[in-house]
Amino acid sequence: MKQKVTSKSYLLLTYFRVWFYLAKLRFIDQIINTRWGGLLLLIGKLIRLIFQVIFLYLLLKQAHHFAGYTFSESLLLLFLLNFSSLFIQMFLRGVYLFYDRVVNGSFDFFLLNPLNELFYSLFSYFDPLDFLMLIPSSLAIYWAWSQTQIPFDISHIFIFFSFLVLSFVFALSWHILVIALGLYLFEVDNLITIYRDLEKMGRFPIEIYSRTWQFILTYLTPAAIMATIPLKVLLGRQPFFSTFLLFLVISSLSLVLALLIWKFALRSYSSASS
Amino acid sequence: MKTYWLIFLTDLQNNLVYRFSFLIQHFRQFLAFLVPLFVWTAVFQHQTSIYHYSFSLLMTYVFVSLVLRTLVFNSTTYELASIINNGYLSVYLLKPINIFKYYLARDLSTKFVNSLFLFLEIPLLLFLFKPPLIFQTDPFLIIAFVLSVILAIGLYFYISFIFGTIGFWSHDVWAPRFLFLIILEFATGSIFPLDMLPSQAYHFLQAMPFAYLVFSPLQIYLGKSSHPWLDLGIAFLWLLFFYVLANLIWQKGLKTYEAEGY
Repeated sequence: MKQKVTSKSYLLLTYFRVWFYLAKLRFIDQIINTRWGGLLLLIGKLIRLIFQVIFLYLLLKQAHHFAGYTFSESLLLLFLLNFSSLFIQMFLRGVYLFYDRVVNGSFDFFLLNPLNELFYSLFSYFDPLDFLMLIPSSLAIYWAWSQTQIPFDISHIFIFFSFLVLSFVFALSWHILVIALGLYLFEVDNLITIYRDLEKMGRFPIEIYSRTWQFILTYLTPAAIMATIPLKVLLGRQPFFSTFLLFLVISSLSLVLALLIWKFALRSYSSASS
Repeated sequence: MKTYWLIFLTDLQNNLVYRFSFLIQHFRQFLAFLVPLFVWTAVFQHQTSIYHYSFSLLMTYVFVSLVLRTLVFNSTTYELASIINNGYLSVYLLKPINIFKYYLARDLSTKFVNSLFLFLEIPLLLFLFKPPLIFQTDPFLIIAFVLSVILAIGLYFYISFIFGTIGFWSHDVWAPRFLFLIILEFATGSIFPLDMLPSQAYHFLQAMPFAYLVFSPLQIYLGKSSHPWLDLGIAFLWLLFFYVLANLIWQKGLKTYEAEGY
């Protein structure tokens, strides 16, 4: 039993060491080798966030309340989604390379590797720019948070991070599903863009959408759990434990389902293109 | 001319090879309409007008801007930078074709296919969401609107071409284009009408060429432009400016081109 635990923790450590090494390479590639490019991308991401804030400001300047949320609450919601999205994408950028890897055959090397092929397919392309963007994003959250009535203490921060973990699991399931479909359809880029579009719909309160879309964004995608749901819990409009349990079940089920589909898709992979 | 017609036809077929990808891309248009529809509906629940826009005027703005973006914001010139960097440009330089006309023929082919899809998308969106739209009936404004769209297509083509030529001087072409696309989305009035901004910001953006890609044609269509023909004149001058600039940059770039490849 003790040996089993030791070997499992050794395996986890191996995964972490490989991931850390690959992340270091990505950091050298994107930040040190292409300094100006990296800087422009960072500026672009910041400007995009500023434009979203301007839009929200213009909306709320006239409307005062947006689906029951004040300006500062809507702003906090936008920043929470931005933070969650950056955090998730930072680890899962590998999905954007998956199509090329299948077409040029380099995916086969992942299958031959002793570590899990899913790990390499999704986690091997860490984005250091997203990591750097987390700094201004966190500051923005802190500022918007302080404008609301929500206390900025450990218990409330814990609530947000617990939902962030669930969002990550839910988003991971979507990414696995997309690359599994990629093995069948040779189509990844557009599918993941659709996912990103759905995710982006969560930058506004879910309540503004019709019932069908509310259902899709809440239970079929992580859009709601990334911002609206944690904000509602933080504002005391929804209980923490029951909401957390519900989304724990949903995200776990989605992960199990995605892994089953992935295994099924992998069985039909013939490596024809390599 | 026949050469470019054949390029147009070939690209037409290329556009329809990956039908599933093409369908998914058009599904994104559907989502792109959905978000502003729900956002503005929520805002208009407690008021009848916002920044001098009624709900129907704003819905028309959102709807027509979606159509305009489909027609204007599509250009194959984005690949120019990569063919410069990998040396494949040499293949085009050796052929008796004009690179501007080559890409224009390809762009027009993509826009033609997109227009065909619009005939399916527009009725579907109208049927599903029944947005209260305003249909322009003034023939002069309709002609001015069509002309402004043609000018916008030309303007976007040359601006996008210039961004493609960055490949002559840098391998890092994605970052400037990413920044350009973000600024473009905001400065063209694709997110919201520019006249909702404070007057100084509005006048600043109106003096930029980007306003003539979406915002200005829409103002003409909605009958909100006080001088539609003046707007067309300014758009034409911008087009002329970018035409000359793109040619100058292209000639300068060719002098630095070494067909090095990666």
